[in-house]
Amino acid sequence: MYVVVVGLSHKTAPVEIREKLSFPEGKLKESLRRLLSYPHISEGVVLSTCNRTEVYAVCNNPRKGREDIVKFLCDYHELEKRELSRYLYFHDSIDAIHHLFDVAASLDSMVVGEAQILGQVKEAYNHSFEIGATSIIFNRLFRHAFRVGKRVRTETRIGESAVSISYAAVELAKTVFEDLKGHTVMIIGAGKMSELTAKHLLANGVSSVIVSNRTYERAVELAERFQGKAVRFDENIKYMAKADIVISSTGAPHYVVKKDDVAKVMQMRRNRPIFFIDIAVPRDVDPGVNDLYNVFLYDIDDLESVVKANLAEREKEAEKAEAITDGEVEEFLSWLQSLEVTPIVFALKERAESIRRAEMTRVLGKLDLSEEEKNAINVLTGAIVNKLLHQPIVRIKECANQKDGYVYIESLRRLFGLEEKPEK
Amino acid sequence: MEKASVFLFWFSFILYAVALLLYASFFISRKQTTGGLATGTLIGGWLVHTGSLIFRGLAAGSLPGATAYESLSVVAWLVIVAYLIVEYFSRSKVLGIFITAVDCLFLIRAWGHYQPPGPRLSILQSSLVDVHFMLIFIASAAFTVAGGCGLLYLFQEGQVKGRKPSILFRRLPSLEVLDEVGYGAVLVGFLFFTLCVISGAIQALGVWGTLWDPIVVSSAIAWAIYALYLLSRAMAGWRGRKAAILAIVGFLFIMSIRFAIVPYVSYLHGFRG
Repeated sequence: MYVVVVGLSHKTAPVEIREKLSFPEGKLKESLRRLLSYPHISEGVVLSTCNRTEVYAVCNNPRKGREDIVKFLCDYHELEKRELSRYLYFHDSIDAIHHLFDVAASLDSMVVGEAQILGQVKEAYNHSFEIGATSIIFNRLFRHAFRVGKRVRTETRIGESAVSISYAAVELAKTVFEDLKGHTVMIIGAGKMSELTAKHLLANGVSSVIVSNRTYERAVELAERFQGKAVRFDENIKYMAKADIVISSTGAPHYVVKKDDVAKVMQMRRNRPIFFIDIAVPRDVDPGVNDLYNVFLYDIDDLESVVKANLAEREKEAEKAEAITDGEVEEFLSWLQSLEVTPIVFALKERAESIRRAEMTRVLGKLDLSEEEKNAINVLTGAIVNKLLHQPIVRIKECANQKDGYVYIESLRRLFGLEEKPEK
Repeated sequence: MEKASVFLFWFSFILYAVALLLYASFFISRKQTTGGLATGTLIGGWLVHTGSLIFRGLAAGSLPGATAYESLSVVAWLVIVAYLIVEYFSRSKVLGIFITAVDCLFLIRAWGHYQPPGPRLSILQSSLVDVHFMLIFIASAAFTVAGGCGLLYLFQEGQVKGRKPSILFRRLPSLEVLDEVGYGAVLVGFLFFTLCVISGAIQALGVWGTLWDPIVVSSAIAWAIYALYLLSRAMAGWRGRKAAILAIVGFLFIMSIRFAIVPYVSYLHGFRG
């Protein structure tokens, strides 16, 4: 039995191809049934996200399993094999397991450490599980993968830090304010970036929004979207006193928020802390503002350097995570191999027994022996076969738990010509 | 009884020291199990410490607190109570490093003053004295927490203002929490300290007939520092850094009264009981 995966991801295929190969969730179960109808596939899971489409399968021959999956992908999406194959990657056995664990641990993601992928893998597995497309191997393998994903998340800091400008702004705001609930955010200059940042802040609990823009109508428009309040540009200072977080991104060529103004604002707000996020280039907020008591200011460069540091941190954590997945793959493999030794031992015994029986009938038919003598020969040959097989069977069971166990099992299979035995 | 008390005293010291290591290791590794273990060990140490104080009280036949050894041990014990409350509500264990370290120092210093349990000086045998002790102990514990919060605040603010925050800043509580926990601790400390000063003044007038004593005067100054903290916050909005600095100054002042003035200059506060 082999675990294989065929798929493509953001690393191998452009979005136009990924789109073509995606599986809509509503039709997933039907497509899984179709996958299982291919001759060499005994278990299957289809993982389809916007960054990847992967088909995991258990099959009795990796090459044939791969062909089946590729055929399935082409048939299902009505694509030519030729145009698809250069985007596809293929892994089998240990590499396939390793790949799944890396995916679940978000080590293969576009943004390493992002949190969604584990849930997506779970969902993909659940779809298969519900229609019985998984069995002994995948039930174990995928549950193991969830454990790996969770372990990486708790034991490393891989998903901890913000890796986008707007998230970094939220994260920083949270170092000043414990809970963004009950706090007010003010947006100066209704641009795309400030809108996005405000959205994140709102999602994190900020309760009211004030929008100020040079063209008042634009401010009203944006304020409506956030159910906030639009104010005129010359009233900035008055309203700044009510805000706890100020996001500025106007196209002004000079400072829009001056140090003296902020000093006045701080008096009005009796030194309650205020957090400025200046994402404009050229800058909107006088950098001197940061020197004021209880005023905190981050400009776009500061935010970018925070993001950069966070990304570097994730890379470092990814190395730790690799060590975790390596160990887990080993663990799973040892289980998988122990699973395989049982049928091979069974097949070996059966082969020996059938040879013995055949030889017995052949010889006993030629000789004229008493019942007692026949019995003695029967016992004798049985003992020889058992004694002969005893040592190899004990050894193979031992070897199965070793690192290269599958090599011994594979050798046994070939030496005794056991591969023709139907598996499953 | 005395032996049991001493045994438990050192046992709790060891547990506090282990908790210190666990809190520090949690700060670095962030493993949840380590964090849970740190809090668990601290609570265990505190329970053992409680036992030590009970045996001490039983051996002496009075509430512990009248000797230098006892007073420091009780303060250390109360600091843990105050901290555990803060940890529970702020959901942050960073302050634990500071608190367990301070507690270990308190206990070591306490041992330096160790005297076998015995009856108190007759002049200290009044319930007003017991109340006076309890008030200053609770106030000290609260001011210790406030000082720790102040220290963390300055560190965290440096990180945020510096605009090149290291990954450390994510492991500290937000400025808002540090400021408010510190404020709450000062509020509680100030309340008990005020009552303590009043009860002390009543006794000083009764026993000495005068308020002109180094402890009384320095206590009044300490009281003024915390009064300034609360007043400036209410009137001028001195929060954040300025408040943190005042909390640290107040804490250092209280500590220097206890360790630099009390043992050398005052008869009644000399804890020769």
